[in-house]
Amino acid sequence: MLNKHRYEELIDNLRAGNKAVAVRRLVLAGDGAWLLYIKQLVDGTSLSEFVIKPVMEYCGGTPGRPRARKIVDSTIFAADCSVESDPFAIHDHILKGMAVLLIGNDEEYVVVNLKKVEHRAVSPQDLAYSVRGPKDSFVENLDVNLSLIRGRLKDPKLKIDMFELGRRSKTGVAAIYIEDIANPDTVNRIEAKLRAIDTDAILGAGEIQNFLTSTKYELFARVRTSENPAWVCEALLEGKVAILSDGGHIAIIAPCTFMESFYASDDKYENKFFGFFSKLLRYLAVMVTLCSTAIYIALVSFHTDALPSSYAILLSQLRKNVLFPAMLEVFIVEFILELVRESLLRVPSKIGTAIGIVGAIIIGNASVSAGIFDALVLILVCASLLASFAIPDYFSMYPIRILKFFVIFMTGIMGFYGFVLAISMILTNLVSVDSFGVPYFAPFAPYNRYDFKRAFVFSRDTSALRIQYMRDKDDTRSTYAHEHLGKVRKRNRDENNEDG
Amino acid sequence: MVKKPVKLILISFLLSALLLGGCWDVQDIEERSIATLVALDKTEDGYRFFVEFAEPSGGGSESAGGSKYVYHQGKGKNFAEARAALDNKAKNPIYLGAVNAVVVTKRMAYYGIKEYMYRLREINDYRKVVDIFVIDCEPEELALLGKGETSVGKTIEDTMKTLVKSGGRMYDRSNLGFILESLASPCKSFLLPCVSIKENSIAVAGFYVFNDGVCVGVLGAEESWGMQLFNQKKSERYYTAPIGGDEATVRLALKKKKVEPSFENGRIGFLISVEFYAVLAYVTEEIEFDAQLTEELKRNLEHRIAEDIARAVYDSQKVYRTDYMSFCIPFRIKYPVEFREMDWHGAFPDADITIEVAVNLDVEGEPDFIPQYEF
Repeated sequence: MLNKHRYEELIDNLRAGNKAVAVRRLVLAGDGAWLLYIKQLVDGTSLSEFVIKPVMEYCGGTPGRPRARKIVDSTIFAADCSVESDPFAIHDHILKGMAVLLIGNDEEYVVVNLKKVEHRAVSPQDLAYSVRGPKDSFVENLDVNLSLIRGRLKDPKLKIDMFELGRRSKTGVAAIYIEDIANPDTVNRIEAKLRAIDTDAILGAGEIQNFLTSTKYELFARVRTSENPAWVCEALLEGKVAILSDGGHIAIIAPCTFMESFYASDDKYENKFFGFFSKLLRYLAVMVTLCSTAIYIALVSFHTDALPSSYAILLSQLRKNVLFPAMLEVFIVEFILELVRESLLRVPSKIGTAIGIVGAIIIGNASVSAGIFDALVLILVCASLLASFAIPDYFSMYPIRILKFFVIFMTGIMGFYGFVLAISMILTNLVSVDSFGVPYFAPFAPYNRYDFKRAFVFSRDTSALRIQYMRDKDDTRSTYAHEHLGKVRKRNRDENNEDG
Repeated sequence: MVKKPVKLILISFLLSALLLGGCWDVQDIEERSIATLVALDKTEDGYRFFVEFAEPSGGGSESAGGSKYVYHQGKGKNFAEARAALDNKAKNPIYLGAVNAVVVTKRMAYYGIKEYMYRLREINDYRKVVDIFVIDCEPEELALLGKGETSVGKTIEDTMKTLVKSGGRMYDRSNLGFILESLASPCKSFLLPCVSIKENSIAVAGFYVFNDGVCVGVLGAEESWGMQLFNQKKSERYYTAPIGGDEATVRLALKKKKVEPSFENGRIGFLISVEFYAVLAYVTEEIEFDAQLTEELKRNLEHRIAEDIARAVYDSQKVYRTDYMSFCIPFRIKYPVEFREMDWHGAFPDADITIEVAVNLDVEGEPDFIPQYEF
């Protein structure tokens, strides 16, 4: 049992170790009490109004010794408060932004949540613009983010499991899922990975992502990130798990597949034919990004006879004064454009425009006029760059950007044979990995007809079932889903039987 | 976790890809001399190649100017020597994948082109769809046509394609692949279009008949009508037939062709059934087509077409005694054993060939005058 003196000793130790801890001494019915908090983390006005004032008024006029339980039950006005008894947790509570009221001769103490952490207001999205969808985005405060989700999904089955990650940062991390939709096996896998995180600090979602997908030779991220609350809610409704962390404005969605990088929230708002057109455009865009320059090298250096004669003459004309062999030229131009892309990300916005103009004029116009680079190479590399921006999930294009160099290299040494080899290796990798039990290249491999159709055409009124490859607990979405369900289940059974 | 042996295998594979790829030999397109026309001539003591090369004018912003075309020739006792002489004159290694047309002179055609065709088969650069022609002028005259600014090879190729599409030339089986096929088949006969220069432009002046790679005669433009009709594919062609004392012009398209072989008492026979679709285009005088007139025109068309085809068959059988209309193919399919045991070249000229022509005539088409309405 801690008495007044032990509390004093505790407080002295706390203050010695952390000068930021403020101590407000109170006298309650002759007993000493101490209010401990960190000024920068606690709302001082609320503390005075809702804790100090009522406690002093109560204890001033009420006979008997003040007790923590009594104070919590009927004195302080704060919504979030509790009675704790572990003396070793006092420092943690204070560091988390709580105010702790220690009462002499009571081994229990009061913990009050009056956190006031500065954070951004909810603002429009930066990473993925939505034309017709909601434009709000997550911020760096977990409570605000959770409110954005709760405000959209008022489902009693929406479950939020809280974790504290990072030995020093003790970052609050929330794993969110809908209990009667999500596959419990998937949820358990993800939460087990979260629990296994052993590090000193977690400062953002990116670090959690690295821990969740920690395979040595992995190139493709097996989780998706989003700053769009509406998109996260959509993912939860498909049976996925969303992970939000304090201090990060990006949600992690798991599991995910490669094809989901091409889905945008606007596909659902538009007419399904336009959605189909947009998706097709994105699938073609990724092929352009990966393959266009490699095919150029194959045609110019190895397989010129695949070109009609007039194109061969035109190419020869364009490349007459070019200094470098085709492969080297493509590597140099790709490298320069990657430099421009990176520099535009880091540079302050005011000089970003200038960098863009310098890049366009010097690299584009001047080099072609001087004949250093071939105009067609510049067109193809720029087309490849633009195509990479057509994909809604910007981060999912990172591996494609790296693999593009690999494909160029293989084509440069072996022509179309090397090109096909490189693409085969990439596809082999894609079909052989999984994301928390979900095949990464679904619904193409393994093939599922319902999901395959949905990968091209999605319409809420015609998609009565959820994604089948998630193997959700409840995969029906609408009241007439059961008509579909029978047919889809039968087809899935037949397909599974054929695969043996 | 990738195990160590697997890692080593992957690394060695990548290294071997580098070492075995042979990429250090790669020649980009601009490091080659692009040939667009190859002409082969027979000289007294050997052969002569006369080749048109595209000379790109350069990169940078001035590249819109286009290419110039230069001509080089190489002579030698045989093809290899002639080619070597040509290689010495070209600036860069010669690239033959962009050749639009291969032409042989009359002299070469009569000498025989079989060996040259086999040489073309061996050179992988050549596209197997490149067309082969015979020219009745000197290759230098072709060069004058282009004046160094346009490609004569491309001009020949484009002209031929246009003729085939428009129906002006209805025989398009003169590419390298087809010729090699013919040489390998029992027929061993084929036709090559004759290209000549008329009024400063390329024209088709007829067809040279080849048997086993050697020219055995020439089919003039008019004489080759029947053969072209027989081989017509998708294109339409204007065709005239008498009606009353006038002439009616129709657009004619081949709808169906069936060649039914027969072999009775050691005698080869063929029944050719062709069906055409004809649409009346215009007539020389104002005629109102009733049922009787329509029927008369139809019969006249059938008769004329049958005559043309019969003449073509006669030329093939009796004049040139070569099966350039490829009757051997349906016969061999139906009578493989008999075909193997016979001498086709000896038996074909005596084959009985019957021709049945049916024309589906549409006179509702576009007559240019309806007599009952006077303006």
